[in-house]
Amino acid sequence: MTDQTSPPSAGTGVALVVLNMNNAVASPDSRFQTGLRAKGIDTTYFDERVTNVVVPNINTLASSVRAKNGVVAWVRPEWRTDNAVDWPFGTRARLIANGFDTPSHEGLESFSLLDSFVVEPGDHYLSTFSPSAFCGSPLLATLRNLQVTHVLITGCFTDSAVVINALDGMNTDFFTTIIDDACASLSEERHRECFVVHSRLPVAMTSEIVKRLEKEP
Amino acid sequence: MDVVNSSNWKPGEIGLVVSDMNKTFTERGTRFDQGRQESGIDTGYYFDRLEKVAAPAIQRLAVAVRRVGGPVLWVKPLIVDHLGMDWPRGSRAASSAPLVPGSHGWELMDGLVAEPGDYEVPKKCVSAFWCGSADEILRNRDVHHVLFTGCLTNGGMLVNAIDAAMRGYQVTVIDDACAAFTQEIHDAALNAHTVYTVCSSATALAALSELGT
Repeated sequence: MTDQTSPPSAGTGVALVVLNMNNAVASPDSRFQTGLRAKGIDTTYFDERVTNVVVPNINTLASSVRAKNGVVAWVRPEWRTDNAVDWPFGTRARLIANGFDTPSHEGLESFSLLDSFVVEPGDHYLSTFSPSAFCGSPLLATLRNLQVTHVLITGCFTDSAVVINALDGMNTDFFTTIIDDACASLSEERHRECFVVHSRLPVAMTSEIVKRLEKEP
Repeated sequence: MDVVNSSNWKPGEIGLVVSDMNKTFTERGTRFDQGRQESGIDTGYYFDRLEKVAAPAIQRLAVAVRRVGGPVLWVKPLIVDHLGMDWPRGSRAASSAPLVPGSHGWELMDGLVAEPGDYEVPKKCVSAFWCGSADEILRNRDVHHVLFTGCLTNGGMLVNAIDAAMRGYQVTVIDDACAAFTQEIHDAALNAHTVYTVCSSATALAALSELGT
């Protein structure tokens, strides 16, 4: 575990926010994904994209952000109930239908990040009780306290939590960018469609961000 | 889908949020309209939909919500600085600035009438929940179910509907009380998220009428 008692170093104003990349959501063996497959929904695209594209790119971004004394925040959804009553009303039915009907919190395997992520001391672990970590976790306070100005949004799913958090980032006065190749949805179509609907959201690729960060003093 | 789960609706606990239906965004020939046309968007569909479909539906809903004791919130972007610098850095709308009370663009679209008990809700970003008083008003009025209307379906309306859902409200988007620049983007926006339900104004009005007065 990260030692979260150590004082953060001064950031350069950039933060990487990684959404929902814990086992309960992103593992092929999760109740969520097992349930999807039982309903005939193919999760192969998602799992391959996570393994081959999203995880490597998030690790690359995290390394670049840390090198500039930026903030890396790993956001994980937490439930303490079996009926999602600790989440917003409008999310509950879908959560239960998707197999999120057992608690997931610190100490449980479902709450752990995928093994392939590289987490460093000084990174921030945040639990969220809403798809929006700006509403459901201390993310907003963390970003403001560390004088972050630019937020990079990554993780899953592009067409839900990623977009929702990006909108909240913009509305709370951060330069906000979704990193296309560090996000995933259940299909390429769903991943692309949300960028059409939310056409004002800035989107960039990992390589562009890494280059930009390298140019920073 | 044209279904509304109104089984737990109670008089007084239903609110109506109308997003951005002031003249700046709803009147033909404004800078907003000209800017879209210059970028290649045919705004004819949008204004036709606002005038013939969305505004009449919103007006009927406002009457019905008031009748069951619920608040009506008219959300309007407030831009005081002429460069839009009083808005978040990622979404400054200098082309619509300034937009302040008393100006022509601040007025509601023709055909929409606010009553004295309604709330005018200025917002300082796209979301009236993050940068306006929508949450405080709805919470203080003990509202649990919020109907969302206005424009754009994939812009201000959608952002506010999502934000209400994130704060625990039961959210219903009224299909024919919203407008986007094309029918395709309107439909895509309604289908984009699962945190709200979608129904027609006729269905919502029927559910409201069953609540009586």
